[in-house]
This record gives sequence, structure tokens and C-alpha cells, in this order.
Amino acid sequence: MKGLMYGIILYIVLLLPSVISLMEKFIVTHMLLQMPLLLISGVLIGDFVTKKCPSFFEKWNGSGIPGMTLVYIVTMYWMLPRAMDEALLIHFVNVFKYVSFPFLVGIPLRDSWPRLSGLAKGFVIFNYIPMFGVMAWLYIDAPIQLCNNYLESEQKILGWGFFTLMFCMLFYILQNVFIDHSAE
Amino acid sequence: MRMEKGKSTIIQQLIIAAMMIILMMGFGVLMLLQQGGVVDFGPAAFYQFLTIHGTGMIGGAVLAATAIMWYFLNKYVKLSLSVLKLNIVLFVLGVVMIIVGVFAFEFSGSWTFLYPLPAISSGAWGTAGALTYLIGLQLVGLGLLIVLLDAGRAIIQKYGSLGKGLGWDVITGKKREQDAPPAAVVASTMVVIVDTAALLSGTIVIFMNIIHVINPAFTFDPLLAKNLTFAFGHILANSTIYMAVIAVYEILSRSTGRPWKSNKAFLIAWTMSTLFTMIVYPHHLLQDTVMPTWALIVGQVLSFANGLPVLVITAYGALMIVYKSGIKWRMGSSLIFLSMFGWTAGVIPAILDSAIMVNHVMHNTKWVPGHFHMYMGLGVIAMLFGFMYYLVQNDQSIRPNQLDRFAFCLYTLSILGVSFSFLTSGAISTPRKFATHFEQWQAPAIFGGVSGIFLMIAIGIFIIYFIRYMVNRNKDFSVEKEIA
Amino acid sequence: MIQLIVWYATLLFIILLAVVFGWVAFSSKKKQDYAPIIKRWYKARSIYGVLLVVLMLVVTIYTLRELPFNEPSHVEGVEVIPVHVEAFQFGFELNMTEFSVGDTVEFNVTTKDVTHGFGVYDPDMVLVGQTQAMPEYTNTFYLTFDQPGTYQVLCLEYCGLAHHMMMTEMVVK
Repeated sequence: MKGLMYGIILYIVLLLPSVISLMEKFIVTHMLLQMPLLLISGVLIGDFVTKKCPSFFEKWNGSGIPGMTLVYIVTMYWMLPRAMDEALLIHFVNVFKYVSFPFLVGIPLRDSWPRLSGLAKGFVIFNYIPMFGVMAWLYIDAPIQLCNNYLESEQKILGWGFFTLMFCMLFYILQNVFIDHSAE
Repeated sequence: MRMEKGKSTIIQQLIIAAMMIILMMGFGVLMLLQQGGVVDFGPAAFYQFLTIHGTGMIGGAVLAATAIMWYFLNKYVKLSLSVLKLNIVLFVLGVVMIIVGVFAFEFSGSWTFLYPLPAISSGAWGTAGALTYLIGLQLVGLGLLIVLLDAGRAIIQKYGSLGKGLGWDVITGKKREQDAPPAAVVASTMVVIVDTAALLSGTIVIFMNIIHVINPAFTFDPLLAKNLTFAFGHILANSTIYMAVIAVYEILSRSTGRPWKSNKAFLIAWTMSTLFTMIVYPHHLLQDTVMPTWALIVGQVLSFANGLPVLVITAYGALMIVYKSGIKWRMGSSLIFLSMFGWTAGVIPAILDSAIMVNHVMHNTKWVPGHFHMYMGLGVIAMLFGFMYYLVQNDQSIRPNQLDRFAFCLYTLSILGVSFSFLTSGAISTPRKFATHFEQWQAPAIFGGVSGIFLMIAIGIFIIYFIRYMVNRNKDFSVEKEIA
Repeated sequence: MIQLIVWYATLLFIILLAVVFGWVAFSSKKKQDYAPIIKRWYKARSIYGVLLVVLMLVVTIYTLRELPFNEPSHVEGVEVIPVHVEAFQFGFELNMTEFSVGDTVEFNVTTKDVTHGFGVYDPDMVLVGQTQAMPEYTNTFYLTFDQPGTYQVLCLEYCGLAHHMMMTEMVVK
């Protein structure tokens, strides 16, 4: 119950016009703060929803793979530089952002992750690491403005943000495979 | 007769790999004959052959080596058979896409697909070809990735961590040498680490190329692209022998009845290999003087050092275990012993070429293919067929006969012929990857092409043996079923 | 010259290896206990390992004395001729193609499109120096012409369907 409440509060806060304009002012906060926060609100809400109607999720997402595939497709879409522009210019895309992150990424992620086998989890992580790597490279290195609404210097900062993200995931994996698990 | 779990999948995988390898040899022969002026398909076909030959050979070697690693690792840890099967499916899908990309859409960017070539072909191929090829390659990579992740998971489950899989606790003295992980586990751990790194950089560079092909306005740093491309290509190609060498440890120790234990020197050697394999790739960039000089010097020094583990530990160990062992030579053990010669012999031209001074006048000549045709052709391929013969040697009524022994000799001589024709060409400065040669460069190419034909005959005899074996086995199965 | 030395060194080492492997295979017919073999040959291995490391160190130090991408030491006081090279699909643009014997040239190589190679062949068609032509970067190496005649320049990195026809000439008098 608590999770649901926090999730809804977070979601509402994120929908406040002043918060929106603040978040969307810079590309780095837009992509690496607003979107993850929307996702987190979805995860918090998902905690409640998945317990409320377990049979639905059991039926459609028993292995966790359908849910994860959805997460994958939607996040891939939001990594396109064009999607960022359109989120600001086209009303429908903007609405889709507020719907897709909590409900098509957050909730399925919350439901799928515990269901996935260790191998599948590894596979997901090892797909996101190079993906973030490519994004970092693209945004740092591109000689042109990728999004019409954001300056080139800002996109470089976003690039380094993705680089940090990739580096953290890599570090997590490395420490995970080299610390001793034999006690478990 | 009951089959071990997974063995028929392994044999299928090996046969797919072997068929691919012999087919790719065909393209290799055609290229050499064209360079020798014997036949002429035109440059477009030549560079398509070049692309498919490189990709297919690496793919085939990786598939075969994965089978070897999986088979032996599975004796020590619990691996998932369905992952292995999924890998084959992804592999075949990827290969089909690569073939379509190369022959239907005429992609001929070579298997090194050096940025920005896939997008800038000066009209030779279009977006469709480059994309089909790159996505196909990515699928093959994904297949390998799941096998590696599964192996890594299983090793961690049994031994605690990848560090323990490499035996670091034995090196530091926390654990006794007798309790060290077996050679197959140590080698697999190394491969899991280096190949995952290779696939990460490969995926990044493949996706980068895909973006660039779709929208050429998005450009990337070519030097970083080159670093990632060669890190990917070098590690992947190099690691095939580290997977396949598991067969050497297992088969030679069984055939001689002598143990091949992991001791401290052995473990240190493998940790060295793990590290060096990942960071020696700058020897592919010795021509790029914009690279920091220290990186290039490190590239040379580490390439030298990378020869030490095999020359001092593994090859030496193979010689020691065979020496006065009273071994009864069979096809399997003979090929395996030969493969160690191929590996060490193939290392020599590579070490010499990694000296910056030598590299300056021998790199990008046929000297380099000379090295890896010996290293892969007489190393990995001998391990592959040695393993196949070993796998079936106690199983059934078909025994290798005179013909197989003849094929063994023919194989040895002809692959040496191919390798030395390349080395000779390299020594007289013949550039590699040329659709046609000046007249003074043609003779070695013709010699190589003819050797290649004999090589195909030898490999063909090996393959026929396995097809006969599979046919027989299926008969056995149906008889068993009827009796049941 | 370098090619010849490397070629013979390779041949020598490979033959040596073949002899060792052949000898071991031949001796494998006899059967002996493993323990004494291990003891004896581990000792031999330490010697062999040390020798190998020493050999590699010597070769490393010897070959790293002078690098082709550093200005050669013998030209101190002599003027080095800078030459700008731009490669493209499928040719080279050099701002200078005539030199005299004894000239030391600094090649600055780059490209308009994809990565190319820049390999200089002497009049006997022996490769005497090379670098890569990479987009956005300029690679530099030094070469001293010590022979009169026509030097060929070949592309040594695969760059497309006319890769093998991409060449140009330099004349040394």
C-alpha cells in the first residue's frame, strides 16, 4: 500500500507543469532524470498491482520474458534522438512518454525481473551495457545537433551521463563475478 | 548404446562447423586462384568471397570451439543444454543473414567492416546489404553471449567466483594445488571473461555502424571505432584456440594415462593469457601513429609476452605428457598432438610481425594471413577434427581406416602448403586482400590455391567419416527402437 | 632486408619446433614412469623459460631503438621534406612526387572518405614503409629514399571494390 501511495505521489509530482518544464529544460535531466523517475513511479505502483491481480500477470508473463521484451522495445524507442524531439513537439508523443514509462516499462519490469532466470538477467544487462555505450558515444561524438531542441554542448553532457551509467553497470557486473559466492 | 546427454547436439554442431569450414575453404581456393591469374570472377565477386570467407571461418571456428568447450566444461559444472541449442539456432539465423547480405545484397566490406566503410562503399553495396550483414553478425554474437553467460553462471555456482575459476586462491596459496580447478574450468573461465569483453566492444561497434549506415550524418570517432573493432575481432579469433585447447588437455591426458593437473605455473600462465589476450590488440594498430606511442609499444611488448604461456606452459606440457608415454596413436590423439605444433608454429610469424619495426614493412601483406592460416588451420582445425575423432572412437563399429590416415598426412602437408605460400608472398611484399596480383606475385598464390584443393580433399575425407558415423548411429537407433 | 631476416628466422624456428615435436612423437613409443620425467623436464623448463624471456627482451630492446614514426636520428641537421598525402576512393593526392636519392621525407597521411593504407614500394617492389590513412586523423611516418627509380604507392587497407587498383607513383632521381 505504501509503495502504491509513494508511486502515485511521485507520478503526480512529475506531472506538475513547473516540474515538467524544469525537467525538460536540459536533455540530460529529460532523459536521465525524468524518464527514470517515471519508471520508478511505475515500479512502485507495479508492486501493488502485481500483488492485486497475480493471476493476470502469471498468465501473460509467467516466464518474465514477454514483460521484459516490452520493456526492451519501449526503452529502445526512447533511446532514439528523434523520440526526444518529438516528445517536446508532438503532443501525442509527449502523452505517450507519461504513459509508457510507468505503465509499459515500470510495471512490467517490476513483474518480470524476479521471474527471470539468472541467465536471462545477465542477458538483459549485457544488452543494456553496449546500448548505453553506443548512446554515450553517439551523444559525445556527434558533430551535429541530434535534437533540435537541445544545444550540442548539452548533448555532450548527456553522453557522459550515459557513459557513467554504462561504467556503473560494468563495475557492478565485475564486482559481482569476482566476489566469492561460494558461501551462498 | 546410450548417448551421453548433449552429445548428439555437440556432434551436430561440429558437423555444421566442419561443413562451413570446408565451404569457406572453397572460397579461399577461388580467391587464391584468382590472385594467381588462373580464374577471373571480377573484383566484386572476389571481395564478396573475401567477406564471406573471413566471417564464415571465424564463425565456424567459434562454433566448433564452443562445442569443445561446452562438452568438457559440462563434465565439471552443470550447463544448460537448451542454451547450447538456442545458440545453434541463432548462429544459423545469423549465418543465413550474412549470406544474404553478402551474396544477394553484395555487401563486401570484409569481416573487419572497418568504419566508415560499411556506409561508404562508393556504390558497391547499399544500406540493405550492410544492415543485413551487421545484424546477422550481431545474432551470431548474441548466440555466443548466452553460452558464455551460462558457462560463467555455472562456474560461479560451483567455484564461487570467476577469480576462483582461474584458480587465484591457489596462486595466492589459500588453497592447495591438489584442489585447483581442472584445466577445462580454468580455460573456460578465461574464455568467458575475454569473449564477453570482446562481444561488448563488438556490439557497441556493430550498433555504431548500423546507426552510421542508416544515417551517415551521425559520424563517430574513427580511431575509437578501430580500437573497438580490432579488440572485438582479435579477441574473438584468438579465443577460439583457448576454447579448443581444452580438447588437448583432456584428450592427451586420457590417451597417455598421465594426469594434466593445474599447478601454480599453469594457473599463472592462464591468468596472464586472460589479461594479455584482452589488451594486445593494439598490435593491429601499429600503423596508426596517432595512437599514443606508449600504447603501440605496449602492443609490441605484450604480444611478445603473450607467446610465453603457450610456448612455456601449454606446448611444453603437451610435449612432456607425450614423451615416453607409450601412447597408442589414434586419429584423435594424432590430430591433437599435431594441433599443438600448429599453434606454436603459427605463433612465431605473429610474434615477429608484432615488432613495430617489422610490422612497418610486413603488416597488411600476406604475411599476416600466413600466420593465422597456420594458427587456425593447423591449430584450431586440427583440434576440431581431433576432438571429433576422439568423441566417436569408442562408440561404434566404424573404425578409422587407411583412408583417414592418408587424409591426416594430406591435411598436414596441404595446410603447411597454404600457410607457407602466404608467408612466402608476405616475404616478397605481396599485399593481402588484393583481387588481382602483379605477375611476380602470382606463383605463390597458385601454389597456395592448389594446396587448398588438396586440403579440401583431406577435410572432405574427415567429414565423410562423420557422416558415415551419423548414418550408422541413426540406424542403430532405429534398430534399438524396433527391439524396444 | 627486414623481410628476409624475418622469413629465415621464421623458417628456422618452425623447423626447430618440427624437430622437437617429431622427436617427442618418435620417443613416445617407449614407456616410462611420469614422475621422473616431470622432475627432470620441469628443471629444463625453467632454463628454457628464462632463455626465452631473455631472447625476447633482447629482441624487444633491439627493435624498439628506432621507430618509423619518430624522426630518424641520422637526419639531425638535414632538412626533412614534409609531404601531404590525401587518400580517397580510389586514389592518392600527393603535393609532391619527385625526390632525390638521400631525401628524408615526412609523410603526413589522411583520407577524404574511408580508411585506406599508404604503402611505399621501392623500385624492386619491396615494401619499405607504410601507414594508415584514417578519416579525421593524420598519421605520420618518415622514410629515406636510398635508391633511384620509380617508387609505387599501393593502398594496403581494404577500401572497396577498386582497392587493388588504387595506386600512384613517386619518382626518385
